[in-house]
Amino acid sequence: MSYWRGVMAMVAKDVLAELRSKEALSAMLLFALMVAVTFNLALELRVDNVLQIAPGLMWVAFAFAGVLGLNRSFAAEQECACIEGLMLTPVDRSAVYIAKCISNTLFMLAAEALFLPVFSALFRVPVWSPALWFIVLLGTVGFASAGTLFAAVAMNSRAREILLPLLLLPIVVPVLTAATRSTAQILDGQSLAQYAPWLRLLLAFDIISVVIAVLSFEYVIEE
Amino acid sequence: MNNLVYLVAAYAFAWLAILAYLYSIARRQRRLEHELKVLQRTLDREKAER
Amino acid sequence: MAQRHNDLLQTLVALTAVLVVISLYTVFVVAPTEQTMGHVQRIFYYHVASAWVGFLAFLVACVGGLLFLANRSLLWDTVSAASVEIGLLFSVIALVQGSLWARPVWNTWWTWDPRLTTTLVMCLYYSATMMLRQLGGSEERSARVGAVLSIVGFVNVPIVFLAIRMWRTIHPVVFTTAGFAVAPRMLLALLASLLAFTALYACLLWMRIRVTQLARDISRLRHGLTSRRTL
Repeated sequence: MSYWRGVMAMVAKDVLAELRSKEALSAMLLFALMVAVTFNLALELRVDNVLQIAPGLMWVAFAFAGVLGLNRSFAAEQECACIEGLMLTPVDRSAVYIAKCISNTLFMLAAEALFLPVFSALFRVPVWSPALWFIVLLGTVGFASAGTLFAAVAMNSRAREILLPLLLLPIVVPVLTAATRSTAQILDGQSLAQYAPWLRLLLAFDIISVVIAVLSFEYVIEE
Repeated sequence: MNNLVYLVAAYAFAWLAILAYLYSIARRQRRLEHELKVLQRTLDREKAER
Repeated sequence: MAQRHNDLLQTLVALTAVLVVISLYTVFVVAPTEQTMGHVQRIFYYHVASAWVGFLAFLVACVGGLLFLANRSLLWDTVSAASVEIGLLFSVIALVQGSLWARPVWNTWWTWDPRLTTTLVMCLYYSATMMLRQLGGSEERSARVGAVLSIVGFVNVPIVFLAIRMWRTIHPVVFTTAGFAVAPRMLLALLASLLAFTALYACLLWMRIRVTQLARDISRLRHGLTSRRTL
């Protein structure tokens, strides 16, 4: 089976499973909303400081929801002992990683797409902005690419729920920083030239992250 | 200058932490060496019996 | 062979002791008292030295991880794991000393300054790495996973360094592109501390590696013993 056919087959499997149960998507979306509401209660948002807090709040919500989704992505495979099935697929190990990374990214993007309108309504920030969507895309790819690797790392240990965020969040500090900063600038109406450095950082991180993860994945997953 | 308290505390903490770590290594080393000795004796005995 | 190793270690320990005494002398006697902060400023020398050892240790752990994945010799895994442990120890020491300095100077134990926050985050990452090693399954898998985590985790170090460029920071900046912003006698004390702590790191690393190797030898012997008995 050719490499990309294998990858697409695995992605399709994940997406179909999710479409049937919708458990990951609903969990992630609800969790993101919960985070937003809780922060709102805790931080006393007023009209004048909304733009300062909203970007950070949005990305925190995405990060926590993302961790939830990532934990699930390998946990589901373990419960049905499907990991062995994935390992036996006649494709390169890196294809398993790419497939998981793509499906995790898709699920995160779906949750984020549903979250943004609600977020916009609750906090009165403008989210109809292709620039914003692009930043969200880059940030999500960065998060999911590193997250998929660490989810595989933590998958076999008993403390996987706490280990994944502890390992992942330090590594995605550049992503969260660049994403929140550029989001703030975009919501503020600043020009591309002004947030371009953050964009470049995100792009660079995404590329490096995927490359390193692809190289490391086989060491992490063999039994 | 009561700031000296902080200076002393900082250096004391550093040395205490390092010495505590050293102590834990030394303790483990001694325990393992003892275990090795016991194991060696058992092995030598088995070899003699054969 | 083992005897030669022991002799080398003893020499290293002796050398370290000497360097430590020298560093203490330079820090408390040679280095001048700072104008605004007073004697509390002397924390700086050990604080920087500890932070430096942390970074060095994590670099060694990263390299150890790479070498392990390259030739699968468990010795490299031992080096990597030991270095992570020691790196974490010294990073925590640096954080605590920084906090003890901050209380009189900034009037707070902690601030969410980028330098401090990224250092704390780095410590959390390596704590998780250590936790994972202990929970991990087979020895070989633990080693492989530990190697990947040490390699990827090293990105934390440049993040801590570049924190001053990505955000605004109130953490004192001493090493700039324009040169060192310290008086010569202070620089001497700093260099002495760096040297002493590097030697200390080498000692601790060696001893820690020795313990793990001993434990591995013992378990191998046990294994051989039990398998012979069942024959």
